[in-house]
Amino acid sequence: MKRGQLQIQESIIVIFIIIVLFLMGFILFYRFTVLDIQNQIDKHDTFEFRQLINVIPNMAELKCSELGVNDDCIDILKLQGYIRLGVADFEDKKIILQNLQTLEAWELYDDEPRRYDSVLRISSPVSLFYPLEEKHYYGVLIIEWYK
Amino acid sequence: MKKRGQGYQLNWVFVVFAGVIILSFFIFFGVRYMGLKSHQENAEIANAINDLVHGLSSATQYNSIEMPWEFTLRRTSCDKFKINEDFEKSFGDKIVFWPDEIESKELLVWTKDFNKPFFVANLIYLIDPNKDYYIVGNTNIDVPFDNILQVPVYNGEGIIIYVQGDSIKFQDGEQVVNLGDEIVLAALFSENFYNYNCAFTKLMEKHEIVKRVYYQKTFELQGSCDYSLIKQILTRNVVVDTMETFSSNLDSANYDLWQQGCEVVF
Repeated sequence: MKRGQLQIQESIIVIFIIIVLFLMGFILFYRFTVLDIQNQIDKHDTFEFRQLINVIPNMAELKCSELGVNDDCIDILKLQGYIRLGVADFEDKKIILQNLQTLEAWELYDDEPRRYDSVLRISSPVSLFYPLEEKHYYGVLIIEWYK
Repeated sequence: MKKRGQGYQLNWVFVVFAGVIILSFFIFFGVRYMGLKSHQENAEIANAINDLVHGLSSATQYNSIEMPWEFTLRRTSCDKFKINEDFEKSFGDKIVFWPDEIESKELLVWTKDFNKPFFVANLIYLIDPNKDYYIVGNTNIDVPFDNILQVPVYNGEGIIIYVQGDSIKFQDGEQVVNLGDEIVLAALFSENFYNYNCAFTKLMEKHEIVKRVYYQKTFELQGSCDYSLIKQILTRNVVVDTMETFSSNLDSANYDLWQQGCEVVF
């Protein structure tokens, strides 16, 4: 093989290696950026999930009220009525309310998918109002998310 | 001499070829990166708007959101929107009144609770800060933003709705029933009947669910008190035209219970 031909072959190999390295770098960078976007979406979904702890006790279907004035508590009779209606829709979630004093518990919603990787759980204290007794009890709202 | 010249030419062809490959590689990379970056930015804007709407859905207040870049929020269906024609997001079950398009760096968000006669939901309004809104009629609504004006007569430019007694008229002539200040504002920020009706239908569905929850509650509230009247009102079918009558009847039946020393329904 002549010296010139050898030089050209060498150059072709060098350029080929450079292109392969660039390509690998690009693929890696692209994948990391896509992963970053996916992480942002996951973070946002988790944020939305965490907001449920504030949204659920403030739902018109559950919130206490007297003569049209809302109060920061969950009306047990409305809760029971809402469960009976069966119209709740919180995709892939399980929502439980528990009276910490009497240990009564209500399953507001449960939509356990067939397959999930993990369960994220949050809870918050709530005030439960029993209109018939006109009494407030300490309760806890537990929300689980099948991810 | 001829062979040397040929080798020289071949070198140039080779250099140009390799250069084109490397250059096109960088251009391809740059274009893809720009696309990804803009997708990421659009996702950030859409998520920020959605977070704000979710955060405000359980309280009556107003807020604004400012982005580092100008964006276009375009309605794609009743409850979905796209940011810069790219990232699509849904408001889900939230009752949001917003126009076909908002093009701005800033977005105003305002919520008001809707009670007929019981609390139903927080209505969320998305407002374009670059538009002037006019409520033509004899209204006196507390507004937190300067671009919302209430005037008795107006014939100029801007987003206009006409409030005439029990009806609200859009600029295109369509009319809806006036159920109070919250609905006047809902019509104003929706800008047309189609957009208004999207969220209003959801509101009526929510009203029906809450009404049925209260109906269920009356079964537990028995004893010495008579809940038959309130039960009977709660079984009535409520449509837009009968909403005011339903609301006042139910309100007075509930008040009567309170006067009799009974546990109220709502």
